[in-house]
Amino acid sequence: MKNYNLSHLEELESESIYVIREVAAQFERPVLLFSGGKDSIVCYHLARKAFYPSSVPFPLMHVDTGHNFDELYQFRDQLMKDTNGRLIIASVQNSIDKGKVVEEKGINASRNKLQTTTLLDAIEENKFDCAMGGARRDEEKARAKERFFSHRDDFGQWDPKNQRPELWNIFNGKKHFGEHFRVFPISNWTEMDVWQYIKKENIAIPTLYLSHNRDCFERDGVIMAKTDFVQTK
Amino acid sequence: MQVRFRTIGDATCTGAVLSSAKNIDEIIQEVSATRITERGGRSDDKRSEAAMEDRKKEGYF
Amino acid sequence: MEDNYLTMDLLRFTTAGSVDDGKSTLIGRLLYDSKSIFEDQMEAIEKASKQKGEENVNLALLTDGLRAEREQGITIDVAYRYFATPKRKFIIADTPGHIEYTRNMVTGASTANLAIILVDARNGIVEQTRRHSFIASLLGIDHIVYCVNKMDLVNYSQQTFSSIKEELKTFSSKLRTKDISFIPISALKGDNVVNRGKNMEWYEGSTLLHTLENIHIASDRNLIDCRFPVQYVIRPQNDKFHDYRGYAGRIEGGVFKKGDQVMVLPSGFSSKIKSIDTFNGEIEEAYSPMSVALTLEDDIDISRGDMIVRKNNSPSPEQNIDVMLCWLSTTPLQPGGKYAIKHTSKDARCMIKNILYKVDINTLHRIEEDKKIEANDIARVSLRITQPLFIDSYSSNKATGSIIIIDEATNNTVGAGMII
Repeated sequence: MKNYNLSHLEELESESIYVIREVAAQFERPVLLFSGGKDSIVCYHLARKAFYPSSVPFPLMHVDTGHNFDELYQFRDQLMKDTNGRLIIASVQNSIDKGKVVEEKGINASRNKLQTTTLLDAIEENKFDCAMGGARRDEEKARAKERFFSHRDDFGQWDPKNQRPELWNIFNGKKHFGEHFRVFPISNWTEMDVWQYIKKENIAIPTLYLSHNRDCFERDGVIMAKTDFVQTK
Repeated sequence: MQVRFRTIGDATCTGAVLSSAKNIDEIIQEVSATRITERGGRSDDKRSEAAMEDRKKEGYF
Repeated sequence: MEDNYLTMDLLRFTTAGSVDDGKSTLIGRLLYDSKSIFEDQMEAIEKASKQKGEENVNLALLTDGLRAEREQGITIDVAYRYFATPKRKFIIADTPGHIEYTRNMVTGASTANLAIILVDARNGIVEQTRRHSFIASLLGIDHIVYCVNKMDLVNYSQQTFSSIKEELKTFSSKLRTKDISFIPISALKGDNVVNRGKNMEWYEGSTLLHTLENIHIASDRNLIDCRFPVQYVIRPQNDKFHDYRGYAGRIEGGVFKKGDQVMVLPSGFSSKIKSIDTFNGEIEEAYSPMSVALTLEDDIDISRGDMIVRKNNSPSPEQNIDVMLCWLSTTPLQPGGKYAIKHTSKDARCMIKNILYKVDINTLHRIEEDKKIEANDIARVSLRITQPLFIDSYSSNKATGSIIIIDEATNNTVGAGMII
């Protein structure tokens, strides 16, 4: 008898494509958040699969701190060129210049947290009603509590104690004006699934993920790259 | 140093790992053997136990 | 490393137990012994346990992802955990066991292939055992594994296990779930979870992990009745694919083959499958739960919410349906009230026509005198829908047999229904 089984990667892929298509069907102005990291690369790959032979019916958006590695920018731009992707760049530097956020000071200064303001402003300015992202539940314990379709109020806030129940694969994307959704198509993937999928599908990734020689220093047990944006002491 | 990044974010909060993995197969081997989580090298999560939850509530990714 | 990752499959399970049954310990044990807990995670929870003055490492801290949960020491919401062995990848929906959180168990159970129900060896079957079993059965879970836990506290007594097992067998014979297994374990000491241990040599069955790895789930899917709810219409509108119309969706039942005679609902028009398309190329056949795009020989008006089925095997169009409804909201169900309803890719509105009875989820008895439906209640309800839905019974197809109900004022999901 013929084997009608799917492997775990095929099942995960099908689930993610289903979620991405739901987004395209339920929202008027969705966007795919794209950082150039492996998870968002996989999400973009899934989106291209979901609508083939059509092009992806939504733009991508990079919330850019300006403090990324050069390789990442090159990779991002090449990928957009090769796939005809529509990329919007939301710049944290602009938010700083406009006085919306203030740069952190000191040795641990990072623009990571400032991204929230830039992201929320960009969602509002572009009138996006849904932002998809490559967050996975296995990454972090608060993310383990996320729904696939995660509601955000008109301030962009998440209320983890009052989330909508999510049953079967029926996703409720109904919202009031000004609210939006975050949707996580690869919620159920693990780091290993992502790598196995990259291998199976032969997906290009930035060389930063591969072993290379780099000028680094150690801080609090973490190996940091020496860049213009990091104070070494 | 011979390093690679397990997770890529802003250069100010993403740590590298010592690694000699030069291709996907070697990355898969490395990931299956590691005893440290992927975000273990991210200083943004180390600020407090609820760092991610707090950021997410405000509207972070 | 060989390429066995290409043939691994996926098992989703949910865990249920009373507050002190050791559920977190069991999950911790499964993850720990299968090397899915990382050193930095372990260090973090060791540190947190110490800070709280707890003697042992509290593995519940692993799954309690929210600040409020850690502060109050309770699990509020479903959390998802992942681990894998060379055979299978597992997704655990870890659901809280308190009575007020029935909705969470229903949520976790809705996507599960299997339910683990924990029973304390010292107490045997308690109210919550019945409730969890009933919910698992109601949600159509095909496999239940009863883990009789804390065997270390009853001197690993074979007799204790046997009598609990007999009691569970009698009780569970009333359930719809037919594949039921019983395993004596000690989550704390690890006996029969991942490793056998030496304390229960009288037990000849499989360990829990071995059971999870080998339980046969392939035949749980409905591969007979073809169901393809249209999710999205792909129209490239470029030169190469000028007249292309692909119907995108996930196959929710059966096997579709190129050349098959199909019928489109609600129009009733017939056509033939011209191609089954994926990004990686055309395929000859597709089956549930694959996401594909179908093209048809004839130009028919088809949009989201329509369903492509096989001729002579179609779901029935119904405007009046009966469901077993689990109420999820703190605002009670309004008899006669109007709500939004979602069924596969279709949106409609509905009215609560009649509440037939409420179910006592501890005894399974029908309550006909009190029909007030509040959070965590389960009731049989008749609905009138604004347009026909193409339904199957939940027992024959979970995807075409389930609905959710949405409060139109708040947009919250307030009810989950299984079509009878």
